[in-house]
Amino acid sequence: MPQVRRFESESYASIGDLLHEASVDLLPEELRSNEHAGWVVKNDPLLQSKYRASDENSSPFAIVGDFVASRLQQRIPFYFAALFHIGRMLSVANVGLQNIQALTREENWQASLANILALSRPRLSFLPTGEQRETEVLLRTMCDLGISNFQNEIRIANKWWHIWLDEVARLKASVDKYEYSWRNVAEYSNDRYNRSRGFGDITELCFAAWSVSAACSAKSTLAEEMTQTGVRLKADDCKPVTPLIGIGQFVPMISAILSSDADWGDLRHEVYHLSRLMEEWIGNEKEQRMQPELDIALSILKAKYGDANPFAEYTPCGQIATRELRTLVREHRLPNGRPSPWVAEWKNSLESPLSFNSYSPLMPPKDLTESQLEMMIRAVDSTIKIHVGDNITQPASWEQFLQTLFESHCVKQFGEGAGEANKKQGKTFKTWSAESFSEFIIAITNGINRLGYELNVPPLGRLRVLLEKATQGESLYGDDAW
Amino acid sequence: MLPVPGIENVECAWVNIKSQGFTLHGFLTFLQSDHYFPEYLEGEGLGDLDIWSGHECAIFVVQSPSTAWIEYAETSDHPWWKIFGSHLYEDSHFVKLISDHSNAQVLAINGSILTFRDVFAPRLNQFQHNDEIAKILRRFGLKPTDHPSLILFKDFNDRSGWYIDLKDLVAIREQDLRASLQKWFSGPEFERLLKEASRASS
Repeated sequence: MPQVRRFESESYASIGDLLHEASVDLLPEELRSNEHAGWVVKNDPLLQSKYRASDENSSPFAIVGDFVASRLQQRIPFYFAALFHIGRMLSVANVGLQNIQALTREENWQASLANILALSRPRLSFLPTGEQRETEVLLRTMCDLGISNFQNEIRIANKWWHIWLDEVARLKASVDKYEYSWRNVAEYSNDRYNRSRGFGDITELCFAAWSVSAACSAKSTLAEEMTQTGVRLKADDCKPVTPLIGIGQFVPMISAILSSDADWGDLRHEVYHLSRLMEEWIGNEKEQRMQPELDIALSILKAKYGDANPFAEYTPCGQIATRELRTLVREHRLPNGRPSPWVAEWKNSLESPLSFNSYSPLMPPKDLTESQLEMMIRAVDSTIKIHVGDNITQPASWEQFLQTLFESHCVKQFGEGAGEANKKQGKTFKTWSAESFSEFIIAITNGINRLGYELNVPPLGRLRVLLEKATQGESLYGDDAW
Repeated sequence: MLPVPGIENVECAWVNIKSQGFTLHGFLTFLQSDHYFPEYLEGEGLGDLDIWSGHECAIFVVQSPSTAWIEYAETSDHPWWKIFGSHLYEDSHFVKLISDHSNAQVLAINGSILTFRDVFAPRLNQFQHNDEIAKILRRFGLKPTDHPSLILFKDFNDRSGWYIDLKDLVAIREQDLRASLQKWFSGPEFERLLKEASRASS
């Protein structure tokens, strides 16, 4: 049986890096050592781009960066795939020539003829038995045609290689210019006193971005030639996203606003509105770019679950939240972060999550009926289920995880609701005292545990602090310790 | 099972593959001389492995799925047609020789015996060449002799993976090779790897 063993990358490189390096190893030396080939290979198809300023997504500069990255994502994968295709053509043709030359050496030639003759007897009727000459002529013709074919392949590959170099050099020059402008802008951006120089640099940056865009849109002779000879590269697979083509129309606007002589302070409204417009537009673009991944994810889920909803048993007060439910919810999280239609349908069947505020505080304990308590238990169960797919910030047991969800999304909500009721009584504890609040939480906990949970009532001291903070109007946002 | 024409295409295809949510990924390395791996994969192997590896595991085979490629050649400008078509294709004897014996090992090249296809119409995905396999294995810290093998990993960003030694399956009959692979993919080892990879991702 096959033996399995674990291996670790000795150089701390990732699997992706190792595969990348291995693929580069396959290029002939002339291609591998070329500066432009190195540039394309480093701008790999995954394009973890330095042109995207992810930490300042809404700034106009980041949008220009996004624009450049998206344009390069259109073109670089083609040159990446073409480089390897040319490399393979050269390697294979050279090996082919060497093989034919070796075959024509006397000892190889005679051994091969003998093998072919042995093969032909008695099956190949076209070769009269013992007619070595016929076979030799045929093999010689094949060798001549083979040499001619490989030489032609090398000629074509070399021609394509030079076209490749020419086109990539032009693209790289535009990117170099853009990077130079980017560095200038980065240098100035923290220097408000040198604004006049900065405006000029930003204009230059926008023009450089346009140059990259134009270079990416330029007609590729290489692509045309390759297509004409029947080569279809799988470069489409390299496109991680649908490019942000239309964003180009915004670049002159950014340029116009940012390069005007007006004071930055006077422009803040324009920049703000433009940024909002950009954000909205980019949001739409990202949705579109995500669509193929969404389609794939949905088709996988549909194939797996069909018309049945795997969440059906997790109704309010039905099957309690389990590890399996968490796995399901996370499986049904689509690439855009939204839930699948199965989850959406299921969540619609749950009770609304607990939510109290000054307009709807928690009703006084004396007014709470059994029926209302039951409704609250349904809401608690639903609230836990709604949050069961949340990220776990600290490793915990399953029981601890459920307890955390219960306390942070249910008990805290009840505390805030009770606090709002107390606020209406002048921030006193006439409506909800710590003791009555604790009794209420005990009733809720007992009720939810009857469904099958094993949740604990937080200690009276913690509940008291929670109620006091809520009554005093202290923010409990992010505070789960009370 | 994802046949790709070259290892760089694995990298190119990664973004799309990642979005399909496989738990485990991997690729199969073998030489043309690792009988009967090439033969099996050119036949029913791709379909078998696709089913056995299941929907949680994507395995790349760096080899084009073969069909009746001589017939294919005549309609789509295949290398055979391109090289010899205009010169020799009117010769029915030649057509018969190429059709019947393109994969027969008859041509002596410095101690090796190659086929007509190896010498006159090598495919561009000459991944099977020893030195190319050796480069891949070396990058993964494996020995040049560590083939045929299956290299599995969870994610491109991981720094470790699993090496599955398939050397014991060389030179056994195709149906025995098929049975052994089927047994392994349905056995506890593969299940354990899937679980381990699944735990790492949750």
